Amino acid sequence: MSEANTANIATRIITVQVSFPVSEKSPYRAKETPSTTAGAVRDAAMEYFTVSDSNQYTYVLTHDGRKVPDSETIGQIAEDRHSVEFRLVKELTQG
Amino acid sequence: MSDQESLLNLAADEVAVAAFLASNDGYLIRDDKDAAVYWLRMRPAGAPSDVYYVRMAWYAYPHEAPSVKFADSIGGSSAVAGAWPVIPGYRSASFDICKPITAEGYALHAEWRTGPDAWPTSGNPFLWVTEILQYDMDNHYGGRSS
Repeated sequence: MSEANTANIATRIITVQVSFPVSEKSPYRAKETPSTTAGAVRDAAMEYFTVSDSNQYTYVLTHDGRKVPDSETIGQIAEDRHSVEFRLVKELTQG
Repeated sequence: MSDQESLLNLAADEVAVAAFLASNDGYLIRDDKDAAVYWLRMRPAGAPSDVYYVRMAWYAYPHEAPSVKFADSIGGSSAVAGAWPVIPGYRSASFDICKPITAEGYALHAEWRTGPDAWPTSGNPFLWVTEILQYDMDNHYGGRSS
């Protein structure tokens, strides 16, 4: 990879949006670099919506229905797009 | 039958639910006899040929959790084991979902009615429940019950 491409990736900004239906707040929005992990976005969104995990459930990010691992980067998910939309879903373990 | 305020609240929130279902190759229909009952057609992303019909009946929206049952067709029976998907907490033998998102779940577990498992009344709980059902289908689906 050339230095120019490396610099371009490093400075690229991706807009992320996380929606959570049972909140009066508007969706969480932030501008992130491609190396930001989904876990960091999940944590920030949970703080914004004032929710937290417990031993009975966890909050997960989904993208196109798929559960997004915390380790995945925003750049991997966005590919060549400039924005990514997630949903914050409460994963319940009761039953 | 729900009160008029509930029906108006449902009508306002069903728009986002319809859009969400459409993005997942599904749709919803409001029951022609009881306007507080919706029929949702859903399918797991990993098994798109498996079609499911959900009967979601609301009482006091958004204040109470809905009854959620799988049926063998829109307007059909919810007492058919084969209409249910195999997903943890979805109990085809007793025709209920034992999670703090349904009236059946809260009836079985009174301790869920307060604290972090309490039913959420802000925002769009109709969409919230629907997203969880779709999430379970997309990420925890184990085939059709028999």
